[in-house]
Amino acid sequence: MTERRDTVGLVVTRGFAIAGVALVVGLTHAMVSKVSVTADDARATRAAEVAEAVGDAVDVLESTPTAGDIGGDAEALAMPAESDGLAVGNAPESAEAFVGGDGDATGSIAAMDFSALGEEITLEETHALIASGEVHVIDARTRDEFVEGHLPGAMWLPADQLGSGDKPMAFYMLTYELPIVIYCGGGDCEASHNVATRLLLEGFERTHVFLDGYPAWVDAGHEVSVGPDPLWEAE
Amino acid sequence: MRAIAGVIGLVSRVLLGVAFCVAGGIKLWDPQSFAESIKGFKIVPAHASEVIVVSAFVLPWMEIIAGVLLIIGLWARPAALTAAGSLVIFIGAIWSVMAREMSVKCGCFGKLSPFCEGELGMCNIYQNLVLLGLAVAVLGFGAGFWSLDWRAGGRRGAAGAIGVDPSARDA
Repeated sequence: MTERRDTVGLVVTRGFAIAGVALVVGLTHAMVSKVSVTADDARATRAAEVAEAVGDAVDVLESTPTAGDIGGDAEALAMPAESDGLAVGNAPESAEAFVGGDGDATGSIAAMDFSALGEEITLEETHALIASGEVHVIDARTRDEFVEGHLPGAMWLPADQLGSGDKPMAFYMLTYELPIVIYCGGGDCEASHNVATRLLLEGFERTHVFLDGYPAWVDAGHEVSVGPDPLWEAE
Repeated sequence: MRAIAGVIGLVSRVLLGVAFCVAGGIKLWDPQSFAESIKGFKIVPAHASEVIVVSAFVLPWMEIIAGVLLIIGLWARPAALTAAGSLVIFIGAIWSVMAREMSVKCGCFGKLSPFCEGELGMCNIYQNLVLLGLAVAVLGFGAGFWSLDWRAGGRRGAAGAIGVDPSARDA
């Protein structure tokens, strides 16, 4: 009986010894590693890793087709090819250049206080935000729908890609400083709200859902981009 | 009977050891992903990022050390005890995620999903229960044949792993 107790004690002691060795080795390894889960650090690390790849992807922008090229409704989807660069840069180079097409948003941009926007925003607020150039735009619809047409500068980031572990490159392009506009197909579409919820959990507090979504944007005659997200080429 | 125990010990510790070495090695290959997986479980507070990072290295190293010891059959019972402890923690963490209805990927084998696809679910619980069963078998039957514990015999044989008396191996 005593011998058995000694044996169990020895097993437990050695078990703790193994765990102790793992603790020491793991701690040492952690100290010399560059791993970080602080959101900003992780994003910066990831962004640095993909920067070169994204740079390569920019070349793809030059060849990204316009709506007319893929046989879409050219009148509704009239968007110059160079505007597809927004998918990497996330914003038009200037608000003036962006609203120059229809010119109806200039006044609202000047008057609008973006920091006061609610969780759900309107078509006009979305258009003004994009025109301001200070926004991330996320398309939460399907990949095929994104390719057929999306808001200028939008990145494709559906909710099911925002779980733990490997996140798509688009996630690492987001910054806390800028507001994020998320949209899907309008109507009963829940995808944009799902993405907003997950981004809130990741600490992004300035998330806005463009409630009427892509159909309303097209119906209003605003510009759209077509083709794949250049970030896909870098992944 | 001792021969059966020796075979069970051998098979259990090798299977468990290989599984742990593979799982630990994959995690150490991409510790950033594993750290983000741990963060995704939301068991450790997000602001305790140091704890998450250290866990992302300690857990894989524990798996590798225990796995190697199991494969060579040295200190097999203590290694199985360590493996069983970590598996109980993993099962508890998975259950916690499921209870909170969170949508999280496992990260158990890094980017690979050899047995369970998609998000965490009962499949991952079953997977860990099978491994836990192997650990319990090693604890119960010892290291079995072709192990260093078996060769050493004596006190190490008792505490380390053995279910087979060295003097009986030719019997």
